Amino acid sequence: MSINITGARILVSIPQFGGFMLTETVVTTWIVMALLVLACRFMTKNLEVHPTRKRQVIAEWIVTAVQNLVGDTMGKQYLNTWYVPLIGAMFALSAGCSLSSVVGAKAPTCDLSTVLGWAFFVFAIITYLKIRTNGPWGYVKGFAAPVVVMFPMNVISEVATPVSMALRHFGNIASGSVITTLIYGGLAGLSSMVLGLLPGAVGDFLSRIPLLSFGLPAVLSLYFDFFSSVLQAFIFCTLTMIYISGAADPGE
Amino acid sequence: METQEFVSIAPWTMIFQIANLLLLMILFKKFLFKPVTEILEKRRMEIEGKYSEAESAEADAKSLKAEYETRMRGAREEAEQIVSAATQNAAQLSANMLKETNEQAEQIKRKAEADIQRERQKAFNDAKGELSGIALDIASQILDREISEKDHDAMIEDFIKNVGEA
Repeated sequence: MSINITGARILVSIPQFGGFMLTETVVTTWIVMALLVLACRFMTKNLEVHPTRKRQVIAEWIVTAVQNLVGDTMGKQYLNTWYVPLIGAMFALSAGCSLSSVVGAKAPTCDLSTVLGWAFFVFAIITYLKIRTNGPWGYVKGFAAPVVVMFPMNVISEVATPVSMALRHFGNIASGSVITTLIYGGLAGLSSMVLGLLPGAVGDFLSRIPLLSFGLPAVLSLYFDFFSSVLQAFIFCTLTMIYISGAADPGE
Repeated sequence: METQEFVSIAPWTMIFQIANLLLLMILFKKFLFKPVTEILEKRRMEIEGKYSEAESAEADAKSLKAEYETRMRGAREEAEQIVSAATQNAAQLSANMLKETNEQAEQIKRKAEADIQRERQKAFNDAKGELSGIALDIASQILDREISEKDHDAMIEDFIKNVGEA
């Protein structure tokens, strides 16, 4: 019995195009996105001024909740911008990808490339906003504050922003996945060992079934899959909002 | 099947995932945020419309009430005016009538007095004529002589005067 902890499966690989790869991660993300868009389509079908359907109420609740989140964290001036759907999409995609592990898929957020991509995207927005707010020279000068000696440290700290965001998200989801895998493996081994002690054919038969895998993993899954998934999505979105509103603030 | 390392960085996956995030953002905007925001805005407008409708209805009602009250006050004043005018008229009329009646009565009284006076005068004159004859007879009998007409008249006058004064 062996436990393999590996990354995503590579479905298509074309080394000619700069090592083009289509991995399980991306395909699962597409499935999650398709489900999310279908859910949106379903919820916003036949919207009415006087809602009579529960799904419209849920859609309105979601929209209002995201608007409130963005309005409270970033400020009211962001309410009618693309940041609202961005944060909504980011939260839904992150949580949805993490939760896809519940149905046995390999969570796309368990792939460092995914969250690092998102973090770099956020980093690009932050850098653009900082340059737009302070001017290119002001942006560069900002690294030399409060003293010039701090320049390398400030550059590292700036680069550390997306890296820490990505690693926080990846680490939490991946560690949950690793722990879950280990516990399943451990319980299966334990089960086979304990039940193998039973004599004769019964013991031989029962030892093939990981009976001890029932129960405990479900409880742990509640934390690692549901709670952690939503929490990490929320943290990632909150950090994004704080960084963006901070970068657009001329007072900095 | 070939797999990646557990911790690995694949540039293409990163590009795909950034594109996925942007795509989902656009789809969310199109299919969730835009329609719901529109319907919420529509509802807000409708509620505002209802509110302003209610406000204008209230204002209408208030102005109607004010108008009604003004009219009522006017009507009451008019009624009071009419009543007081009628009272005044009646008083005037009765005063006039009283005055007229009084005048008439006075007139009748005066006429009656004049009549009485005249009757009295007439009676007096008659009496005077008769009395002169009688006096003449008496006097002629007493004196037994004819008295000239001139003296006669003077005597009668004296007599009457005396009688009148008596």
